[in-house]
Amino acid sequence: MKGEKMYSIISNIDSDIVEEATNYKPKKSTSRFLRSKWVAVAACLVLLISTVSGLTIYAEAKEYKAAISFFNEYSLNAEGLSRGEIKSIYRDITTNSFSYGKTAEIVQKSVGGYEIFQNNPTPEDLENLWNYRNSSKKLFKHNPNAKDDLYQFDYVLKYDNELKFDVYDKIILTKSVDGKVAWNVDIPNMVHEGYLESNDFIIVFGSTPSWSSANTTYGRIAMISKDGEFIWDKTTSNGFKSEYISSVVYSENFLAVFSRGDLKYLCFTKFDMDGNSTGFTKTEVGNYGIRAVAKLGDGFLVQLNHFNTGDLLMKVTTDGTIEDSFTYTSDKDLYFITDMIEYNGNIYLSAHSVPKLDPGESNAGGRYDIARVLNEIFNRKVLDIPNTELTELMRNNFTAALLVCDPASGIPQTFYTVKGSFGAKLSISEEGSLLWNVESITDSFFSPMTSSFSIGGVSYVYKYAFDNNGKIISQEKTGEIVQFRK
Amino acid sequence: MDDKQIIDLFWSRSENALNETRQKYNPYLKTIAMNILGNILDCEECLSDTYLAAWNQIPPDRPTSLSAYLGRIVRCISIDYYRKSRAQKRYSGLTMLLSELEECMSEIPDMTVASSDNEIGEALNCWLRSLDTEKRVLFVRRYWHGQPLNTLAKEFGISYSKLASMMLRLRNNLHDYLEKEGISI
Repeated sequence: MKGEKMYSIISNIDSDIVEEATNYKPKKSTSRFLRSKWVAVAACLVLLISTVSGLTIYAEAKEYKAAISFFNEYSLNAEGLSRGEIKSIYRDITTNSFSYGKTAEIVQKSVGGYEIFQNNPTPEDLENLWNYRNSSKKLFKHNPNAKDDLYQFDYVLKYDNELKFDVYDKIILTKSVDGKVAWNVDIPNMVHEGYLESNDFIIVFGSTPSWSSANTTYGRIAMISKDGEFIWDKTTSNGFKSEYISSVVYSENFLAVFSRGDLKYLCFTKFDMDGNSTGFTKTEVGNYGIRAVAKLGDGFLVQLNHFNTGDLLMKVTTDGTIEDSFTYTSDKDLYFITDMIEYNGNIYLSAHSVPKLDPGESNAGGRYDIARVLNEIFNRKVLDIPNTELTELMRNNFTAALLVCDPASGIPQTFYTVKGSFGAKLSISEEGSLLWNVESITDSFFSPMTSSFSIGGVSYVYKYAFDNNGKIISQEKTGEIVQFRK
Repeated sequence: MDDKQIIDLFWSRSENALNETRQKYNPYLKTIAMNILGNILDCEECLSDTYLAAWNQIPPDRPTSLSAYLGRIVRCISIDYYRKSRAQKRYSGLTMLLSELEECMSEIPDMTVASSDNEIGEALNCWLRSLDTEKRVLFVRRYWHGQPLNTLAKEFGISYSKLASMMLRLRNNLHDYLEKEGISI
């Protein structure tokens, strides 16, 4: 009876002790006799086999090492996988076959959402690029797949008799379809920052021209019909020494106009569709530029950017009040947001990330995005770095990321990432898919003597399409080439 | 499928929970039942009862370790089967195991109150944690999983006699420990 009771009580020993015993793999020891016998046999076998298998073992170890590096690079979790499985997954991904059963499981488990594996630029890519560079004047505008249907802004200058030099007179906005001019319209007294196109109208916005820092500049906004008729234009007067309109969002029969006053105020002005201002709010946010604005629920999500401190996202209500502000960062990476779009009730952000600097590492004068690359170049002492090496450094440094914001809070989460690339423009296709442009860094050059940038280069544009549920449905290499300056 | 997903299936009352549990844990549970009963027919019945018990107890239970939880159920049910089979004079692998465990517990004449199961359980956990890993694993494999000594000896690469004497020392050690803690039945 005592034995039975004890046996029952043993049922209740702690679960971790039971699990430890269940999963324990004993280290087998062999008897001395067996050991000596097998040592002799093993020694003979080693002598016979070692010369034959040496190369095989070396090759296997080399592949395994490469597979482990690959797993580390792409933050894939190798836990619980056998050596053979790790190598199989590595081969499966790197050969783009994606047919091995374990691959999808491991990729989906990878930290930070799903990663889209993009091939490194092929020798053919580089050859095409070189040929193109040496044969076309439109080097950075080439897109064989793009429709030739766009707006062009041409500035017209006029001679000022008092100032004795040319000043801005007007913009001529030209709409072309299939390479032919459809219409053009004059917009006076404006330096444009951007435009908003809807089904019925085009809003062009920016500021008044200035030719001296002593001038006061005002926000400017104009509405043009889709067939090129000038409807109205307005100039803001909110008491700033300088103001320019950065972004306009069309929201249920009013225009939400976001401008920047005296380089430190975020301003919100409501315009009705006849161009009348119906409300104005300003909030001091510091020296942040307005990168993009998108609708978020009943309000707006505004992306602000500071050269040194990076991006700041702000939730703004329909009366212009700032409700919340936050940044997107992770333990390991810094994020730089480049575009924002509202799609299917969510806000998507296109961004690129770079690894955070180690404590004490130089930030290259606040240029956090390329600080690691510049530090690597400066550590070499010799500043002459071949383009191929620099391109590899740049590709290792940058990862494009597509982030999706929580519809309620606006807080972004990583959705997709692509190594070696910049996150670029977001748009919606005619079929209603979300399109994400990713610029795959293809060639880079070091330019230490230029003041506006240190690293320049070109990228091939890849276009990824997502359906309503955020599932990737296609990816294509567009053939478009764009330049970058960092 | 991982344990959390299986438990979620139980909670959503999906019968797939039983299929997934059977697929993942049947060999493990069968080994425990066979170690105790040594009879394939009893063992199969025991496993069916185990799955039924899991279905009835999850929810409300949400086990942190599904393997230990199911193992516990199969052990309890196997002991019940053992009692029935003993009454019918049928062979059981548990008989030897219980006689070994008899040695661990002592009846102290001057103790008027027997220790509760909880007290003994706590003392047992403390004692197990004081052991080095291999000894702890051997003890649990033998007396929780009911693994026969010859199988354990083979798996751990030690001789049967060496293992038997090691287990004897462990039982004596447990006996001394429980006595020192004032634990009795």
